[in-house]
Parts: sequence; C-alpha cells; structure tokens
Amino acid sequence: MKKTITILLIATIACAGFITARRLFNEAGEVLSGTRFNWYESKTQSEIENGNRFAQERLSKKYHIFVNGIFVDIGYDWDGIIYVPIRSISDSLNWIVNWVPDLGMIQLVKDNQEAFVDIVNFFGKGYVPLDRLEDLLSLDNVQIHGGNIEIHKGGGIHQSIDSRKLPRFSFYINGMKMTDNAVQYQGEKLIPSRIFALSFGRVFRYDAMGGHSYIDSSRIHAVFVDGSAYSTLEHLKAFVDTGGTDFEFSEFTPDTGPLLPVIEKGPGEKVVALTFDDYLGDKVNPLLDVLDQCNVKATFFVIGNSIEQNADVLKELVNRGHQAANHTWDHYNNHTLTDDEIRAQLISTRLFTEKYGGQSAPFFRPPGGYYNDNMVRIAQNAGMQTVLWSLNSTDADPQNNAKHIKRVVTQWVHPGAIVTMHTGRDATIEALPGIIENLRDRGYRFVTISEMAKMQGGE
Amino acid sequence: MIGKKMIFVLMGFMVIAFLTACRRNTPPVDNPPGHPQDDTHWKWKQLGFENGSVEKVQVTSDGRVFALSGGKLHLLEGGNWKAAHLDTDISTFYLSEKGVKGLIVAGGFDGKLYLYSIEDSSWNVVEIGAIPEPIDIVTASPSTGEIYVGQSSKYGGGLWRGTGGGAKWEKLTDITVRGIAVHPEDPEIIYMVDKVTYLSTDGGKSWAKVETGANYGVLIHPLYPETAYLAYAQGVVSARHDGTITSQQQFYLPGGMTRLEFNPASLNEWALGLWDYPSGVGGLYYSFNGGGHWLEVGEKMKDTRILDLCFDKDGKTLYMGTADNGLWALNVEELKKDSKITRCSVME
Repeated sequence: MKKTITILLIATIACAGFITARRLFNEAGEVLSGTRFNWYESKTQSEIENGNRFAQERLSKKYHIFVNGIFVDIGYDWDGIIYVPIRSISDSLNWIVNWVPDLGMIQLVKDNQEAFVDIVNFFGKGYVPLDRLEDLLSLDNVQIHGGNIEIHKGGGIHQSIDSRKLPRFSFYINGMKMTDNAVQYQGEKLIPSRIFALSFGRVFRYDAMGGHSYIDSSRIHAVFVDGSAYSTLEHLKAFVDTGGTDFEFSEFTPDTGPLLPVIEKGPGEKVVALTFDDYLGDKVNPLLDVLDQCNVKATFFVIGNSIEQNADVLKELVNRGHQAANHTWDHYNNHTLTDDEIRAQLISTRLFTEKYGGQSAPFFRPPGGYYNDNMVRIAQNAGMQTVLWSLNSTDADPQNNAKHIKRVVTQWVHPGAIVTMHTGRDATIEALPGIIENLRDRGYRFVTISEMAKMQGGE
Repeated sequence: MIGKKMIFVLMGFMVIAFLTACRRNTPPVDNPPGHPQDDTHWKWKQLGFENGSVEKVQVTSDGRVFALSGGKLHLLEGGNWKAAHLDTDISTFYLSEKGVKGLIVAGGFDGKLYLYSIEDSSWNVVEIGAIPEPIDIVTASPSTGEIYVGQSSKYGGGLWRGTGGGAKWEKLTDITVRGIAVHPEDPEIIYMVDKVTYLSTDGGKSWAKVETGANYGVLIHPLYPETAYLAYAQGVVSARHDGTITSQQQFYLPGGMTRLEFNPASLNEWALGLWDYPSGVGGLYYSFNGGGHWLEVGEKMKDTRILDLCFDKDGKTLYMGTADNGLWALNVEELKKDSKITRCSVME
C-alpha cells in the first residue's frame, strides 16, 4: 500500500514537473513576466540600449561638411578614417549619382567622366572616405578644422550671415515645430528652405558651383545664414503645395518641461499590441486580409517616402480600422541627423499620412530603435509620443521562417507586450494566424497602441 | 546485486573515457615561438607589431616574410624583425621573385621609388617622374619580373613600367592608377584600376574600359588564369580577358571587404578581410567554395580590421596585417578542421 502511494506521489510530482517545465518553455514570457528572469524581454531592452549607446559612441566624432561655404551634410571619423556621405556632396557638385543595386556600388557620372565607387552603407546612406572623395571629384581644397570640413571646388565661397546677430524664432507647421532656427533679416522672417522642402516631402538641392538652391527642379531665391539656405515663407509656398496647412512663427523659447514617457510595453493586463514597421507596398494588403480574418486591429509605423505611390494601400489600412503612425520619412538612423532634419522626417511623414490616409496616430517609432531624450522631445513637439517594443518577433531577419517567428512570439509574449513585426515579409503573414490563435487561446486581447496608451492613462 | 551492476556501469564509463582520450587529438597551440614554418602543429601565431598596424605583408616562395608597418619596411629573420632603415616613410612595396634577385621596390609618400637590396641592406632612390604624392601600388609581372608602379591622386598620377631591375622606366598612361594586375603567364595582359577598370592585351600600348569598378583589386588565380576577378566591397565581378563580364557575385556579408586574397594552392579557397565601419566590427572570413559561402573565422581576428592578406606559396599559412593588432599567421590546415559557418546579421 505504502509503495503504491509513494509511486503515485512520485508520478504526480513528475507530471506536475513536466507540465510546469512544458509551460515554462512554451509560455516563458508570460510565466516569467514581471520578474527579472524574463531574459528575452531584458535582452530586447538591452539590445535597444546597447544599440543606442554604441551608435552614439561610433557617431561621436562628427564633422559638419560645407561645400563652398554651404552646409551639405555630416561626416564621421570611423577608426581614424573620415567618412563622408557621397550623395549629398557629389550632388552639390553636379555629379549624377546612380545606385547600382547588383553591385551595391554607386556610379558617378559627369560630362565624360565616370566612376564606380564602393560605399559604406549606414541606414541607407552611402559613405566614402574623404580622401577617396577628394580624388574622385578632383576637389580643389579640403580643410578640416574643429568639427568642420570645408570643401572647395570651382565657384566662389558663398558668404553667410551670422545668425547670432539676428532675432531668432520658432516656426510651426500645423502645430508641429519645424525649427527653432527661423530668423528675421532685413525686416523679413526667413526659414530654412531645405528643412521646409523636406517637411513637405520635396527634394532640395544645393548647387555649390553656381551657389543656387533648388526645390525639385525649380530654382528658388535664398540667402545663406550659418551656411544654410533661407527664404521667406511666402516665397517657398510658391514652390511647394502646402494645401490648407497652417503656419506659425513664435518667439524662440528653449524646450523645457516634462517629457512624455517612452512607451515600451503596456499595462500588466493580458493585452498585446501587434505593430508593423516600414514600407507600404504590395504585401500590406495580404497582411490586412489576415488581420481582418482574425478580427485584429494593429498599428503600422509607416515610412513616409512610400506613402504617395501607395496611397490606396494607406487608405485601405485606415479604412479597415488599423492605425497609421510615424516611422520617419527615410528610415535613417536618427543619430545621424540634425534636430531640424529629424523634425522634417517626422512632419513630412505625418502630413502625407493625414493627406492620403485621412488621419495619423500620434505615435513615432524611431527606426532601429535609435533614439535619445532629445528625439523624444522633438517628437513630442511634433505632437507624437515615442513607441518602442518589448517583444522582437525577429522577422526582420530574412533567414527566420514563419515557424521560428511564431515560436518566438508565442513563447515570449507577456501581458502588455508590444510586438514588433514588419511589412513586406511573407514569413510574417504566414506566421500571423497561428500567433493570433495561440494568444487568443491563452486569453490575450489585441489592442492598438492608442488603446494601450489610454489603458496607461496616456494620449 | 545493485553494487555489482554499478561496478559494471562504472567500468563501462572508464573504458569509454579511455578510448575517447586515446582518440582525441591534442589541440593546436596558440602562438608557439619561432617562425610559422618551423613547426606544423599550431593554429595562430602573433608575429610581432603588437598594438601596431601592418599595412602590407608579403611572403616569398622561400618563406621570407616582409611587412610594412608605420611607413617602415621590416624583414623577419630568425624569428626577429629587422628594419630596413630609410629616412623617409614608404607607402607600399613589392618584392619580385623574377628578375633581379632580392630587390624590393618601395613606393614613397613623396612619389619617389626606393629600391632595397636585401643582400647589401642598402637603398637606392629612383625618380620616375611621378608627382610628389604617395605611390599607391607596386607590383610585378609574375612571368617576366617587369615592375609596375601606379599612382592616383587628385593632382594626377599614372602607370609606369620598370625593366632591368628598376634601371629603366617608361610611363604607360596618364590615367591615375590605384590597382594593377598582370596575367601570371601572358605579360601582355594587364589590368589597371582607377575610377573604373581598364584592360590592355598588348602590354600596355592600348587600354579598353571594363564597365565596372575594382576598388579592392583585380585578382587572377594562378591555377585558373583565364578569369579575372574584379573585387568590390560587396563581392567580385568575373571577367574574361577580352573585357567581357561573365558574372557578378555578391557575398552578402555584414560589412565591406577590406582585402581579398586567393589561396594559390586551391582554386576555391578565398580569404577575405571584412569591416563594417559604422559599427566597428568585422574580421577574417574564409571560403572553401569560391565565395559561395563564407566562414567567419573569428577567434584572434574577431573584430580586427585586416589591412592586408597574403598566403605562402603552398597555401598552408595565411598572413594577416591588421590595424592595431600587428601581424598574424593562421595555419590553414587547422582552420579546415575547426571552423563555423557564419550567418549574416540583419539590422531592423
């Protein structure tokens, strides 16, 4: 009798142990939620933190690049070699810059000259060593002093007005701060022409040889302040379709006040927010169909430069009850941009989302999770709260198949999880029904980021 | 009863452990003393210049090792480095094994050539008419020993050919040149690289443009000299010696190439230095199937920026000149026994 009881006890303990171990494995994120043992969530957070720390360190030795006296871009010292962005500099010297995707190279063409150039690709921007560029473009003179690189080629040096002698203003587009660097000169308020053009998704080009500035292919009138082209609002409106946009100048006041918290995860309830980043394109509609079939509303962080040619996709996305939020215009690493450039990235994406989708959710996700407090404030001043994620589905890696993605999400999901996924991945679409079914069976409810923010008392 | 069983089980374990111990190879030793070719049972050797940079390394067919570090030329003799003293710094060098014996041709930062006789330990300066800017490349025709010198700067440059052990020089073209390759058997076939690639099939009298770049050099494998491999940061373009591009091969590695070298003893064994400048990571990669798949070697070369690669003539030792990590040798035979396949990391 005793023996039987002992065996039964051992069997019960073994069964319980097996069930616990199985649950611990299959539902590790949930079981370990709120403890320091949820290593995947910790790993996700530390990946973002380490990525930012590393990026800031690698981008700390930076140079502002001026061509014939005009600011064109930013370069970096990497391992003792100064790398500069090839497109903006070559473009300013009237070289045609062609990307050759089969080779991962850039082809430069001007008159009867041609060059194939290897680049270092950093978040979609191509960089080359400065001395290589000097050779390629036969630059007349390159001087490095302080944090500036001054390049001279043909033409003269275009004189700039020193902004320190001018009254300074902030300038807003539809209530979103575009710049703190608007100035008053000779009785007129001037704004940075390039940032204005970029804020409306237009192409700005500076011709360093002639000293002229262009929006798309139209030459504009500009004066140079601190090495940047400035124009009046009225003049710029003649070149950019601003529709019913509101503009406002206000006295410059430094940004202070509390920062909105960065949303990394939701409350401790059994809710999950599915989020999809990147370009609008052919694969978004099949993704929407899957979400519809499963009756799930999701949040899309959209790259702005893909909106205009996929306007119908954006409209469909919003019509089906999903949220379209901001993933910047170009998906650059924000650490490589100036404050005004980040603002233009956010404003243009928001304006296009509202124009073509009818509405825009007030959230911003920094590409790659690259952000700092300054960017959080910039987004806040453009009416957006910064959103990261607590669960990386790993679908960005093309080697991960649907089975792997499903296993990662279902194993590591936790109450309040914000899952990051991507548009344009077949494996993601394939994995979604299984993920949704699994989480529903476990009692999870799907919410958008807006709903999640409301549950936390935000928005 | 249980005790007896336990004894049998333990004895079984002991027999297995004994057999395993007998089968197991002794692991290769890191950094044994002496010259790489002194012994065979090693994997990595640090050959000097610790914490310094080695911009170029060359190994002769009789196993002598030459290194350029900090603008100075050094020779490895009896396990010690001997500096070839010269007042000025040099930008590159080459030792031709054809033609005048023991002659090293070095390019200066001042556009001059410096000829070093190993036998006499003496330098001679030669003016070839290059502008006072760094000489980019010095090489030689493997079949004739004719020396080729290339220079490329925004002020100009060109391609020069030297004969008679550097006694006589002629300028072949004014095109600025940062890369040169001469066919291993046919000295009439010459490649030069500037902003695009150029090919001559008549010994440099005329040049035709090959419609691609080769910023990391033109490589011709001695075992299969029918094809030229034009190296760019992400892969190679293969071309025939009539200038026809036959294929393009992207390596899909997490960074850009710093250097590519073929194992002279094996057609499909390629070594590659990789570096991703924005993130500051990279190292040594090795392919056993002509660049189809790459093995991340890691270990001593993990996150080390490789500046130059050179195999010995048997392809058994690979030499690596690095930035801030000196000169290293890798036993290729040991690498073949122990390597892991890399997976490209993809950022969000």
